[in-house]
Amino acid sequence: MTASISARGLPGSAPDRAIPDFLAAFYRAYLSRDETLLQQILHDDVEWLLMGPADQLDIYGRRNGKAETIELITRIMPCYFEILDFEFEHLLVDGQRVAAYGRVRARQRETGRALCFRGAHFLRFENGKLMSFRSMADTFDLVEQVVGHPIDITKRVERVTLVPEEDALLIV
Amino acid sequence: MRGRLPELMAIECGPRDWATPITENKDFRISLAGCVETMMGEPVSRASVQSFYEALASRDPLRLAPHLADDVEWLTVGPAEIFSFCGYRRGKAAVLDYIGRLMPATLAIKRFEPADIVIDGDTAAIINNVAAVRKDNGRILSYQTAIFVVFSDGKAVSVKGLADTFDMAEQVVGHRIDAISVPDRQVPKDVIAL
Repeated sequence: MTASISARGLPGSAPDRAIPDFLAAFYRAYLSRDETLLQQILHDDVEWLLMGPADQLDIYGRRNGKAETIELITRIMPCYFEILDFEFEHLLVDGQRVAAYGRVRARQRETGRALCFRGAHFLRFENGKLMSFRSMADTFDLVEQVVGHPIDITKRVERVTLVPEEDALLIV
Repeated sequence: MRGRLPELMAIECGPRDWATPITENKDFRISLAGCVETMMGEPVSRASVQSFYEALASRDPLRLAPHLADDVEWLTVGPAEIFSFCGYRRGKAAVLDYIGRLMPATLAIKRFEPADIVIDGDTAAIINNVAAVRKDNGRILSYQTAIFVVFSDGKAVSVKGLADTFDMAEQVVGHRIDAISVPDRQVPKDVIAL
């Protein structure tokens, strides 16, 4: 696996700067999707939020707790794509709070297509464990790349009725 | 209070936790190969960040102007076909035109408040809660944005903003957008088969 994180052209970065251990550990676990590493770095009550259309791509939305987050990273996300690289343009560390901005490169599982989109991560650690992760991205661009065609904003999501409305519900 | 950073100013920076070089984590060491700028700029003060933020929240070009470097770069990521103000601008005049004319022509910002902030060196990253009214149809939009601002001598030299643009687009059109269905094939009327 060639996954890596890098920082290109970091404004305000010293040449010999290394990222803190807890941050490196998190991105290593995230990229490798290694459940053992994730168990070590995630707080039991981690709050995980990928902002995006959760009703159409189930990678998006909120996850509460370690089990849901690990399931997302190790099982659900790989169904869509494999993240290859975070190319950070900004990486800010303020105590145990972190903000990152850059490009994410990924490969779509179904088609092998390369995906590249801009995103930002806001993280909060407690005693070296990831307590909160919030990701924001140019989701319109990303969803177009994932579905492989331009999005027609006039198309509505059709309401799907799981039970025919004319059928009476049986009450036993 | 609009644009204030009350809780943020109360947050004290924790001790810098720059670990010793991560010898066993060489893959994760930051590589600055090809960097144009590798020296750390002067750290920006929280007071400067707050002043900039209050000026930005006011959406008043005259108030914002003193906080911008002459050659400031401003990038708003998003679909320009839906949000015409998205894109890249360079220079104080272009940025003030964006803040004072282009964006208000589409959205009237009613609320712009910080939800989280991280400051490190010369850069500040801020998550904002925004409420706006779409000018052409009066729809209210409620969304979050993130901005990363690099300062030099207390003035912004680079601003990069992004948001959950799919959610914003849905709020603009007023319905859930079907992203999965392939759009109807449209044949340009001016294409002539030879």
